[in-house]
Amino acid sequence: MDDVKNDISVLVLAHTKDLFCYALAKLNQKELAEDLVQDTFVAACQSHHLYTGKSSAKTWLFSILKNKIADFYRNSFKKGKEVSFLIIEEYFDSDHQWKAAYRPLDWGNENELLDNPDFQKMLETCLENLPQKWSAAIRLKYLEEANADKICKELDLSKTNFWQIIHRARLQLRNCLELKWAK
Amino acid sequence: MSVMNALMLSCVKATELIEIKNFRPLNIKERVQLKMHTSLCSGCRHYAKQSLLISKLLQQNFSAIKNDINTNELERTILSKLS
Repeated sequence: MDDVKNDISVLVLAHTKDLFCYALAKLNQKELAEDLVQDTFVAACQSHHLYTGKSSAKTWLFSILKNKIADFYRNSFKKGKEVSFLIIEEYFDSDHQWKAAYRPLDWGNENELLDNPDFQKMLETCLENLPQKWSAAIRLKYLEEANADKICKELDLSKTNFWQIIHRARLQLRNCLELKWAK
Repeated sequence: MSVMNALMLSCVKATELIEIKNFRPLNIKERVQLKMHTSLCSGCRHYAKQSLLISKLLQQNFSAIKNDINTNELERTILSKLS
């Protein structure tokens, strides 16, 4: 058992920073990210015998952490309040064309925005401002390149319902960015 | 005209296809419909570019913050918890 502890201690010193940075980027909450990284090492200690050495220790730790983050968002989605779907009526007219006030504007050079830290922060803020259910659905998609089938199954959603949520969430996310950034 | 109507998407449908494209490749009919729509609609053309940008940002781990982060204390907490 002491050997296991020693091994894990080495891993703590080697990988805590990478794990924490990843968790922080995915969760955007410092304390929660710290908790989940802690839980990751506790779980690693408990399931040490399951680690076969086929992948690197770092990959193994990341897989535990990603599961914990996904669990958090699955719970967050399930606990989130139902959201009314009025976004479509708000942004589009009765012919389902953009209303003038919501028609997307030109943001200029997208490649420059990709590397702009202020724009990244704005995206985080806009993501936080979405209804809990919607931000959780978007976050889950980008955790481990999960496909729609897998996410629907985990969240107990029909495909149609899932597309509706993603579509409306992304419409609102984009609109938030345009209001805060491009106007 | 009925052929045109069948091919021409609304902006609601076009933006939905743009988002679906993040999850699965579109089939040929969807691709043609979307292409036709965005060639005529500047709003959806901008939307498509912006959707791609947002997806790329969500995919990458925001690297800008990494340099300012110190995890020494967290490491100590974890080590004491494990011992």
